[in-house]
Amino acid sequence: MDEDLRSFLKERAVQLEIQRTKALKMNYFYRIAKPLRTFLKGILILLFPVTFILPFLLPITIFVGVLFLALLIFNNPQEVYESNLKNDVLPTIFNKIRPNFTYSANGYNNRALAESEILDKGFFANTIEIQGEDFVRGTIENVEVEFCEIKFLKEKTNYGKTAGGCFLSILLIPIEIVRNLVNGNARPNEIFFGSIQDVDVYFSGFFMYADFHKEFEGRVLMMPKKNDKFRDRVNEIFQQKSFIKMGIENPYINDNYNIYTTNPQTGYYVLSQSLIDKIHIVIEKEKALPIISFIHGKMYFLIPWDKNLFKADIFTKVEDERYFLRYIDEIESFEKIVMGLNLDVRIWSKT
Amino acid sequence: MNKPIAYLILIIAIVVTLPLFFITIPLLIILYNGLVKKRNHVEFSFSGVDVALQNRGELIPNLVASVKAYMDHEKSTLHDITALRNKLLEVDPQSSKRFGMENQLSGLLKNLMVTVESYPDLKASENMLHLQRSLNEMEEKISASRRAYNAAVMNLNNAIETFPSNVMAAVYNFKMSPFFKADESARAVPNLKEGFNK
Repeated sequence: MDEDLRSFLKERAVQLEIQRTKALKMNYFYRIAKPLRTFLKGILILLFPVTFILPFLLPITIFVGVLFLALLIFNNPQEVYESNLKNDVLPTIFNKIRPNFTYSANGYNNRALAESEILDKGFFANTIEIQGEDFVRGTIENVEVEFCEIKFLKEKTNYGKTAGGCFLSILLIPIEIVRNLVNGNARPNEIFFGSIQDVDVYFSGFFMYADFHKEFEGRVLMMPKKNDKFRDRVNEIFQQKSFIKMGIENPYINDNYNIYTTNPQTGYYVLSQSLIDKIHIVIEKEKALPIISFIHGKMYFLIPWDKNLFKADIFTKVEDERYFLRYIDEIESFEKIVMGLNLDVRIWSKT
Repeated sequence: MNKPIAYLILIIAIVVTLPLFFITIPLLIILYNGLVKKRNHVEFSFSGVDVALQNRGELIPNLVASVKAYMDHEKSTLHDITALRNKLLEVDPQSSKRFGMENQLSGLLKNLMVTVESYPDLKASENMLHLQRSLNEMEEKISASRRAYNAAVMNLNNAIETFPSNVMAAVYNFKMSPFFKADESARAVPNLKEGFNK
């Protein structure tokens, strides 16, 4: 590490340590506020419907509600600290060590994701939200790349909450009957009875988009067998056949992937034996099967992983500039993926 | 499987499954159509190799013209390349000789490219760089089309050899196709010492 970089990182370390100390102090209050908030939320859930039936409980409900809202001002200090790191510190570090990259704490390239055609697959059906984090774009050895952490969310029935809601509704039914009999109410109120949906992350990973080192027209898709839904294969039979299944010489890849292409010659041109071997190495290293598509001279790479890039922990002291070394390692690991796939080697007509 | 045995198996299968003719007949049709599609796919893939080789052949006159002025000492190599290329235009594209000659041409072109390294002026020439890249791309496309052809041949040969499609294959005379194989010169370990001593 050169002196200029060392002094720059040292300065950032001092600033970050001040923020960490503040976050640590806030964390003591948060540790009390969070369970209290959950408790008050539970009380409110019970009190709210009962107040419609027993109106004299209204002042208590309002008091509990105000207390709950007041406690909401306590944000999770861990999240605030990480957000400060990603919004204030990391962009300056990127600018210093990798001026060819730009970094944003949140975001993803929606257009690249749509162009990859990965989302068209049945596995990603019912996605209602996509979240992107640690979005980096730039060039590595003249190869245009973009990468980010990405999460796909969909609605899932929360059976616990649904059971709780149904149980509560059942409890309210006799109270509602008695109330209506006493009030002579011709129109009884509706009582909720149904499933409660939660929005949950079902796939979290790393998405990369890069300019491929060969010029080609056509599409090639490598889909892990476990992600290849039966419904997609049925659709391919009944709709216009746009993809042809192909096999390659690497038995491990053949056993774990379904590979589709619009033209077998394009497929074999794109998936050279050396590229397949390099993909195999990435799979062995990351212990995960990426979904890869190659479309009109571009490569789209989506690998599932649970890592949190550029993670910050309020309990880890920022002693000096060496704290940032792991972030630099993470940046270099992206470059290694690009160079590992030989995307930077441009000996073909694509210069 | 030979034809008489195949006919016998087919007849027995039809007779035994007669009550289920609404399953047997479509199945036989599917098997036959599958074999035809695979055979057509092999022919289509073969034409892909042909196209790639032809494209490379079209590059050669430009290559020879660019190199001629600089490489006085390599006249015999250039002459061999031109002569081989002209012979390929005359030979039957379906003949077994053809791919041997194409492989020979690949070898000569590779040697020529290595020799170009000894001529700095030529190496730096814009035209030569463009030709080298085009040639590399052609070789890559030839390799891809050969792999696609081998994959098509494997599918056809599997269908011809495995039951029950081997019965239909024998009845209708479907033949196994040969794979593209590297010739002996390509399989030989390259002599790097000789290369460095040149």
